[in-house]
Amino acid sequence: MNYNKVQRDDDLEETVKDNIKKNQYNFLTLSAWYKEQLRSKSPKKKSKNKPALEMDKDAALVVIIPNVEGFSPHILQNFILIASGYINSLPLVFVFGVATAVCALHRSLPYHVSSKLCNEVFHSQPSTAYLNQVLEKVVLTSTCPFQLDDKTFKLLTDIFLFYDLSVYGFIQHYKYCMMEHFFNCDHNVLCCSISELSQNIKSLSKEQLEELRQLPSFRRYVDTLPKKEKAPLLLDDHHFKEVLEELMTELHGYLLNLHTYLRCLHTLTASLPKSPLGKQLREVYNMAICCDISESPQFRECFQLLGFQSREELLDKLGKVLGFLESASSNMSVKVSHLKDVQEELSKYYTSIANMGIEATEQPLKSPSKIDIGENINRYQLKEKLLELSRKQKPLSAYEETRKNLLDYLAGSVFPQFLVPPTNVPFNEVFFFNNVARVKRHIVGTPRAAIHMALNNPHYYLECKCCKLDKTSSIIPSMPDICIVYKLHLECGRLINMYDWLQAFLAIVNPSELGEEQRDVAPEIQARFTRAVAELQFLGFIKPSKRKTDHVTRLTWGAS
Amino acid sequence: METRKKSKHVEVQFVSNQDVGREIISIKDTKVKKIGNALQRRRKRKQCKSSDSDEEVDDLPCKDLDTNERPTALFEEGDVPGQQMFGFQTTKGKRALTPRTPRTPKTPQPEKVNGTPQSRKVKGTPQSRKVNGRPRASSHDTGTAKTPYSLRRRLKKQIAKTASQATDGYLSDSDFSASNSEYMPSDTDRSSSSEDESVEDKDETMKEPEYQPRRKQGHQEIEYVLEADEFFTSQKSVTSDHTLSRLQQPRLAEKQLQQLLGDMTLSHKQAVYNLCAEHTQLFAKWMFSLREQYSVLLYGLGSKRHTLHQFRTKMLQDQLVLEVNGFFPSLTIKEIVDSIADDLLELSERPGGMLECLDIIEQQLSSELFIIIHNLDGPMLQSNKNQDIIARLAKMEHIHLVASIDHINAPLIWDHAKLSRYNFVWWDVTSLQPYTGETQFENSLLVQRSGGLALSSLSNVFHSLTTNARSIFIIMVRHQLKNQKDPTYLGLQFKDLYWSAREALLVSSDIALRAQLTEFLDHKLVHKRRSPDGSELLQVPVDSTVLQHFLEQVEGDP
Repeated sequence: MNYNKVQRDDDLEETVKDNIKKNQYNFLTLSAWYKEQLRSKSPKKKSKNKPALEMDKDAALVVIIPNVEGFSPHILQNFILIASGYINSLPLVFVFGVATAVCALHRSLPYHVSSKLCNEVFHSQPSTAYLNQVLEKVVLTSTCPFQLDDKTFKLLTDIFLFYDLSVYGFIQHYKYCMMEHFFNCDHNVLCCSISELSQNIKSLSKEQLEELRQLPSFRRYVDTLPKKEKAPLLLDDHHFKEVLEELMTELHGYLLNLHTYLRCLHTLTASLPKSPLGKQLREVYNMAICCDISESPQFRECFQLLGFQSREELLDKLGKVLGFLESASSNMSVKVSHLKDVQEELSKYYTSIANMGIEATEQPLKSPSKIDIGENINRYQLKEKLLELSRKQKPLSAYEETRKNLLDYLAGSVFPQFLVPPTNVPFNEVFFFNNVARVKRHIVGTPRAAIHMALNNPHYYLECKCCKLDKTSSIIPSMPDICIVYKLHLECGRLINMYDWLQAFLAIVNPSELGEEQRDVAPEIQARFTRAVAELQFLGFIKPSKRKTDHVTRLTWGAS
Repeated sequence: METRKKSKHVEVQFVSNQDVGREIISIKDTKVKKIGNALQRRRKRKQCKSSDSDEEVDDLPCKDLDTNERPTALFEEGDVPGQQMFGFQTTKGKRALTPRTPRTPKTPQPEKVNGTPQSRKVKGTPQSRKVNGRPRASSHDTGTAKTPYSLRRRLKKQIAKTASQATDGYLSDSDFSASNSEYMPSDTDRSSSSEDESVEDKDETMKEPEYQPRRKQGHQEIEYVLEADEFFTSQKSVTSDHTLSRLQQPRLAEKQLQQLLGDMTLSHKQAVYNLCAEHTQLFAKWMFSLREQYSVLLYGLGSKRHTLHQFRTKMLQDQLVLEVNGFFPSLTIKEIVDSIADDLLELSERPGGMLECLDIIEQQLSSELFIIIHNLDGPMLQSNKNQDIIARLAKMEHIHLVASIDHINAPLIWDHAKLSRYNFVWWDVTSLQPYTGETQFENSLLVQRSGGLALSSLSNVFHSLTTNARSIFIIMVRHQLKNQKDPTYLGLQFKDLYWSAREALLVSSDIALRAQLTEFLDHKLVHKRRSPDGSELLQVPVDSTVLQHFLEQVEGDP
């Protein structure tokens, strides 16, 4: 018991290591040590004595117990009970880390133990919140030139949301994508901050320039140029470098625009009912880089909904948007003039809406104008009349007018201009990692699928002519032995008779004249069969059975 | 009855697995959507009622649930569908055959020519039994029946019929209808079947494991009683009673096996070579990711030892490398940790506890250390604790782990904590190379437990014993051989042994005998266990034939 306790307090070991053996550790030593610590009042205390947690004059002794579920409840109970006996000399504070729910703590501690504790529950945020923070503050910013394309980004977020919910894992996967992006790909040295750009361009070798010329986005760009400009671009390295620098700077500008306006769009649309564009920035981002977001039905739906926003809400959002634009244009490293224009335009709208005042927005409820309804009107006519009236455009109030203009401006000229998918931008491959196939198999391993594939269709790996199958279930004698044996075992039930299995194997690899039972088996073939069976056992498909002599048990129920 | 049949057919026959899968998924989708919509509606209402902040709090934890997000990038076209790998295989008669049928038509290999169509016929399985009462099935069967296969099947079925008394009349009936539904030559072949009767007989027995469960199924199909628990009852697979002793040489000796396999040339040598050459190209990337604190995990069919050896020789020549054969059955985790602490770090003082040892290693290790583990899923490394320790090692800054896995369920040994410590990069390095090293410790039914080895070791140990001890051991062996026929024999009782030894003037006291026995136990010459009544039972854990040989040998040269 004492041993367990002291292990957890292993920071103390350093001080007491010299004179006390481990099995002599106990609470008395601990409190003596604590008193000594107090007396010496060394300015640099142990990390456990967090100054923030000082109680009265004495520093509390904090014991952090992460993952309470992992501890044996018995030890935990005893520890708490013993500690409660020393509470007068040792101001202990426990921090329990609970992974599941608070009831886990109550379950492992009976009443007589938990009554010794004064519990206070603190909730941490769900891990998705942390992911969103990481994404919004680090990954999805214009200062980070390395960007993921939509498929890779979706893959990583999917792994997070549906597989492990681990931010650490997400970062590692992101790092792997980054490694893949830069590994053996020298021209991607241009994926750097704008201050290093010209330096890096200068250092490019001839081959790297050639690689850059081969990029599909650049080729597309060249195709759009008039003929006269094409030739020097493709032949003259010096000229190419100049154009390269220009285009890369543009790309940086594009990135800045993309992220700034994405944030704006996200602020405007995130709180809409049903949030058609997604609640998180990552969702908006994903959509914006895979397709033209301003053309998407969700985008239109959002702006329709925005058309019903009240003045306060709209003002609030507009204020935030202006804040984004402000910060973007203030600390931008790229010159993007239109940011300023948009900002000015929007602030005009903002002031006009703000100045409108209450009375303008809330129009006095006009009493419904008397409709001239004739005396003798039948129901059908009345319906017609009402329909007609409803079609008539009501005159818009001043607020509604401004709101309409504002939204038209945003949806008509701002967003479609800047929120274009990166595929249209030359050299986007340098910034955007776009090869999800190269990373997916390495981030998410599929061992079972690989074995399944190799056993069912060895041709997939061997690429030989002899093993081509037109049906996955067929068996050809030229296949590796293990594949034949595996496919034969698929035909069996739970138990497999070794003798019959061997005979079936023989019928395929060495068919006898009349197909009779072969009692005298060539030792080579028997050895091959033996090996194949042993390998299947090693892989975990079968295991020896004691139910019946010379039988093995099948361990899988996979169909072929 | 007819309509019922049909409806059952529709269920059994026409819906393919994929269709079913799709159906289920789409249903699920709509359900989820509905639920999601309902949620949102409710939320909206709530929003109307309550303030915004309230709404947000409510939203936070289940944010990702109500957006109806579904993983899209995780599943793609090229993936192997899970139902193919993990789906339940109901012992449908149909399914057992399918691989067999197409096998013959596509054997253009010249070597196959010697297998005349007749021989092929004989090999078939009784598929046509299904035919009766199932228009659908019969049409399918006639399609495949173009090969002489059908004939063989029928023949075999006939014999099966005679072999099993069950559902006799019905079977023969089905036979005839089957032959009628199919084409003529089969009939003539049937008449010729009598000549091959003996052949058939053997063949039928050989195929029995497949057809017997199917027969049951066929029976169901006729009667159309489908009950849910039928699945479990029919799972009792019926296999033939043949044992390997029917073979001329039932088991190969271990040495012979190794020699045979060693002489054999690998099939698809060139292809395998190409695969391995491809893997060599990846080494630089592996090195890079190792240095970036990832662990490299290799998977795929085929031994990966060769690849890892190459990796070591090519990339890790001047590095500290620890190579671990995880498949070795008596490996312990302590050995791994100790070898790092003692051999690599040459620590003078090693703490006893494993975790403290890890701490010391982490502190002391200053140069890069590469750990190569063949079979991280090996039998001794599987346990949670051992994986935990390896994961801790892998997490250390200076330690880089390269490992391979082979077992199909290997990924189950890691939880998220371990996975995040390991930080794996997965590589498919399917090589289809034989697992020679890895499987040599397995007890295969087909390999003769090398009696030779046991005998020599037995006599070696025996010769090192004192005369008295030898005599005691002989008493036990004799007793065991005398009782070898008795199935209820559990072992020699200690007190019986004592009295016989005492009578032969070999021991004078109980304690002296126990001292002798300890030596036997240490050398694994004797197993000790408790009988149900509490007395000690002693047994020599060696095959009786080997014991017989041993006894002859001992008596031959005293």
